[in-house]
Amino acid sequence: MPQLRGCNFPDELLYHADSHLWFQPTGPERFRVGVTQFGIALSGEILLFTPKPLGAELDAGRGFGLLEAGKTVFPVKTPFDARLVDANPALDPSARTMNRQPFEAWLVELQALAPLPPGLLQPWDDARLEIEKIMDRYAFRDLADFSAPLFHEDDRDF
Amino acid sequence: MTSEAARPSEKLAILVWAADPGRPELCATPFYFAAAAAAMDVDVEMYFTARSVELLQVGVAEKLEAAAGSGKSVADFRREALTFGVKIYACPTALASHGVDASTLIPAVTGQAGAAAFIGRSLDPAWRTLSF
Repeated sequence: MPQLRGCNFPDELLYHADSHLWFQPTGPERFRVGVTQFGIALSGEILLFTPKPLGAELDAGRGFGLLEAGKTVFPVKTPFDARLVDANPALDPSARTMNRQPFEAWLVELQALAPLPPGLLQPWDDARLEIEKIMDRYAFRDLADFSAPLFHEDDRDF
Repeated sequence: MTSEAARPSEKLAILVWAADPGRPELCATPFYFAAAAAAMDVDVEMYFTARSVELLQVGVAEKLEAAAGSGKSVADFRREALTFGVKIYACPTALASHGVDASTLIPAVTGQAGAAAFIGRSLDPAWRTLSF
């Protein structure tokens, strides 16, 4: 499995670097969605995930749920117009599994409402450069010795 | 495009009156709830009255920690709420009652609004309300 600075990035998944999300295709224009190991490292220990109601239709950039990590909240936003079609019952009431199994503990399934623009979701090889830039911005050298900031001044959305 | 049927209300007014700077353990929660709602794309307004208006003065919330030793001040919680677009109003009557000059409020305060404004939100079916 590809690794970058101690974080796994399974190469069978697609990535949206800015939102720290991974996407697993589960059907035509339908995706299971989770937070990357790197994204979780930035947030600190995740405690809770609250999805919006199933069936909600969301414009790109709107939140499909809320992550609570200690004393900080993070919206998780869809990068494309989507319908929220499923949420992982295993994350209710506690989402702590995400901290240990970021690629098993999916958050939701999203059904895109239109064909996705090419390149919006990227395979690992294409996403790597952008993810590396974000790691540099946070002075993220290695998962093993990184402490999550207490809160993020910017780039705080998942 | 967001389905209205799925989310019947997208507006929340929060009354903050019991979050007293003398009880810092009560002072972060209103901002945390406001931030959580705003992060879920809800339009959020916070109405500060009674001694809670002091939380909007420059330098007050910066010195308070809801959880002692956490390293996160009430001002940090306030900043997060503001980052998500929460609007903050200070009650002019409370400002006068507690000797708070409006010029000492943080610049991010949206404006002054009192009981009538919050009651107006309470009676408006498009809004939901919370009190702290």
